[in-house]
Amino acid sequence: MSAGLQLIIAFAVFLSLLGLGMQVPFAIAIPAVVYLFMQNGFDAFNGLGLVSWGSMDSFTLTAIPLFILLAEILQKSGLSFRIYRGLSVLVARIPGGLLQTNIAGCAVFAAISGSSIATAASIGSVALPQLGQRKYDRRLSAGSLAAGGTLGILFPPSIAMIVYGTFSETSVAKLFMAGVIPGLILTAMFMAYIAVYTTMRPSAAPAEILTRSVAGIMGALVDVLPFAILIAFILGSIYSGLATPTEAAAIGCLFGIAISVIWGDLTWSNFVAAMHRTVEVVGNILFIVYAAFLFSYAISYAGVGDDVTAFVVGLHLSKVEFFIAVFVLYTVLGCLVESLGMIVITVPLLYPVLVQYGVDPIWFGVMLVMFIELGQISPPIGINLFVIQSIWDGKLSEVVMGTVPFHLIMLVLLFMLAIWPEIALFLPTRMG
Amino acid sequence: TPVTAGQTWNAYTYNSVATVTAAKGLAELFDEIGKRTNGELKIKLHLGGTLQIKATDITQAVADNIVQMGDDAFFLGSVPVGAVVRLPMLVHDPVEYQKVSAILAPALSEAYAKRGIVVVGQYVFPEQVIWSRKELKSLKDIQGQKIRVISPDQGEFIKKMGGSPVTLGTAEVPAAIDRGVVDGAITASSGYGYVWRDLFKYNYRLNLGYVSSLLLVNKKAWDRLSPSVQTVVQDTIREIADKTTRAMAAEDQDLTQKLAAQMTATSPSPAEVEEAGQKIRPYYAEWAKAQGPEAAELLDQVRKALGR
Amino acid sequence: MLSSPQTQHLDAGHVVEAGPSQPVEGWIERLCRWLCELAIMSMMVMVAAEVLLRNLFGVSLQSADELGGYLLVAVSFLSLSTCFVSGAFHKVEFIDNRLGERGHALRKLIFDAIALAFCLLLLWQLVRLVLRSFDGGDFAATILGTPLWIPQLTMPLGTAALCYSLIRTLRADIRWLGAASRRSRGQ
Ligand code: NA
Ligand code: NA
Repeated sequence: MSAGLQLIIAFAVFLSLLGLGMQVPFAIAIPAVVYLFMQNGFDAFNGLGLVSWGSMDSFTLTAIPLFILLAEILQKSGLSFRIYRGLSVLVARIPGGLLQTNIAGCAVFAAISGSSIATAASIGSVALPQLGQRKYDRRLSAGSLAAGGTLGILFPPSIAMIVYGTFSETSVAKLFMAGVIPGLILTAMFMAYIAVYTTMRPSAAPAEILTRSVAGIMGALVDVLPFAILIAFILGSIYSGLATPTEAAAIGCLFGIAISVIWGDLTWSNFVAAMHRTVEVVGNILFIVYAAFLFSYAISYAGVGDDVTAFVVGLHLSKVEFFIAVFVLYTVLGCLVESLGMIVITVPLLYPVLVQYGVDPIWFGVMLVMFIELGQISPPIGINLFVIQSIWDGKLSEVVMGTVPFHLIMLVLLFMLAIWPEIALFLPTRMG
Repeated sequence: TPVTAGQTWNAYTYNSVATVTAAKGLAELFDEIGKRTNGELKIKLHLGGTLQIKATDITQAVADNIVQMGDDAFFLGSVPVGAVVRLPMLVHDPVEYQKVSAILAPALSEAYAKRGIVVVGQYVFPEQVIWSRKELKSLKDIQGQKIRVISPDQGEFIKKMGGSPVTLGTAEVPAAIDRGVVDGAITASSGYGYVWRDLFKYNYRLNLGYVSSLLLVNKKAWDRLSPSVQTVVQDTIREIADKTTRAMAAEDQDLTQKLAAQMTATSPSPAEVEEAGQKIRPYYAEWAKAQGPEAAELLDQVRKALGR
Repeated sequence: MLSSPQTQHLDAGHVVEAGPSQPVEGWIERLCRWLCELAIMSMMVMVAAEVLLRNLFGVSLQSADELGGYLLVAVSFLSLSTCFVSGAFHKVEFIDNRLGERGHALRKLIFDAIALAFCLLLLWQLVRLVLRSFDGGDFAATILGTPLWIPQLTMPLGTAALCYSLIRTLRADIRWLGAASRRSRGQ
């Protein structure tokens, strides 16, 4: 059987299982083992043990359970209700209301988290129940969170940039700086879109109660205060060098428990309920991540990524043609492979070609992160889509449809970056 | 020419960067093997991370025939006796390394044979030195500094010099240095010294020792090759692995000079080298005791040969 | 339609309906859940301790990242069975509404059987991994020098628990299919 046919069969199995109602992580993992079997029979399964161990024995991933636990504790202690009550007063004048805080929240959280999954999952589990109760537009709620999560790897710290920097031997510090302005622009564009959309369709974002009284605004500030202190604590611990981002998840979680005891209603039974829910959410997300690793292994085992990249490299294109090809390549790979796998497979092969085309490696790093972000919200294996869908009750199609406009906005930023590389290079070139 | 029904092997390296000298060496090696065996043996290289198998599990992956060949620099958890040549400050220069490596070879082959693996070659990384963003121009400057280490041995060394060793994943190091979670790290110029060059201000060129990477082949796959092909493969590996070692050493000197222009590089005085050696020496015996009689015996031989 | 077949609870402000033939949490699933909760708490306390010790006393445990990784593996695999029975794994359900009760029951039986086959395959490979690590004497080249089979053991244990939950679900599926068939004949 040809390599192409095997890949097509693996995909057909995936789409059939997903469409016919197989649980999402199984629907990803089972085609992976089918694909392995087609390649090398039972012998191909021998790597499954080491691959399982190699994928999940990861200190970096511990940020996921810890940030989810933090979010659940804020939720169950009633603090997130108070936070959103306060925020809704403060943002009442801004079109889009609490939807704007989704984006702002993701941008702030992105500064403490290196991963877009952690960003989407953490802000999402605080925000979605509140947005649902307040009858915000479901698609827009889910889409803004799935897309907002991708800010997690554009703002420093960013795991994807660290990996790219390591692969391409570019300065990680400069890459971090290069992500800041595009990140701010993307945040602004997301917020502008929400403002325009909700102005044109007011039903998407219910009007929040307008308060003009000083007491009302003071009350709102008091509601938001605990969260502001928590975010300041987490950011402060990272930027003062007390803790790495992964470690900050743990001390932030402890601090969040303390805050919930002081300001919130964190009883023992609330705490037990938060732990219970954390296991369910975390178990689901980690199983999806694990299944994505298995799928990625099956694809790497076949060497498909290598072949595709080598094919593109072998076409000897002009610079513009090359970029269109790279764009197509990453769009396709983004639907197939999880984000880090994408870097590992393509950058070593593409990097020498970039040098030939005289492409700035820092600028390309930012483009690459944008491509990865797109991949993370592209169906069928855009992992952020599943993450958002796993923490609420909506349909996957609602998440996908809600994400489409944000997808387009990211494409606009990509074109802006292609035309004006200074957007990315302004800060790094002014660094010492 | 007749079509020969040759074998195709999958090879896996810990190295995830295709452009570094070690990985380029492997690519050249597999190319040459293909040519010189007239296609009897084709080897497909998978870079670190692409197979979701950890660098520390490569020995296991070769033993289990998941890949037929492994390029393994992180084998200590599977074959601990290999650590003897990596003890800090034990080996001072490449000539000494050759000597020590020859003493170790039989023990290494035997340990690997037990796991159904043939050791077919090795290449050696350049000297491991200390880098920091805080002032680091002498041995006593290590005092109070938080240095990222990648092995318990390195940790022991930093502790003995009055610093605090910290273990961090490679991906977390740049942000950690940037924000002062750690002050510095141990690596070679041509390793991460160059990659993280913008984060360091000082390079203290005290040579802690050398790290080698072993080329491993699954015994069953190896036995399936005809003796003549085995000889060709063995000779090609020896030739190109040695070439890689030399290329990396030359590159390291080159980069060390380049980096000296953007940070303060200090070579230790002979008195400092002696002092560091004195302080870490008691640890050698502790290490051997923990590893058992075979390791102790090997360490004795090595120390006799080096006279330290 | 996408929904979680969880018992009724308020999620994102919308009521989710309980699914048919979903077994309740038994003692094995409950034990797994407690172990996961313990692992997450240990993760938090251990990493926080590392940060405090390093910043207040200048010492590092040098093992927090190693143990954190092991705990993450434990959470990933031990959570499988409890998540499965509590319906935490979501799915696309638009087909079931069109199948009718008997078709729905049959689809669920087939998919749970496929999932079980996958889990048994995984269990076989994970048991093999643990045995090979044990026989080879592989350990972590760290200060702790942890024998790898110990943290790896949580993988087959969690997968075995999921197999157990799947088998219980399959029995419920068969009963439901039988009942649904009788109902459809009775009509
Ligand atoms: Na970030
Ligand atoms: Na993807």
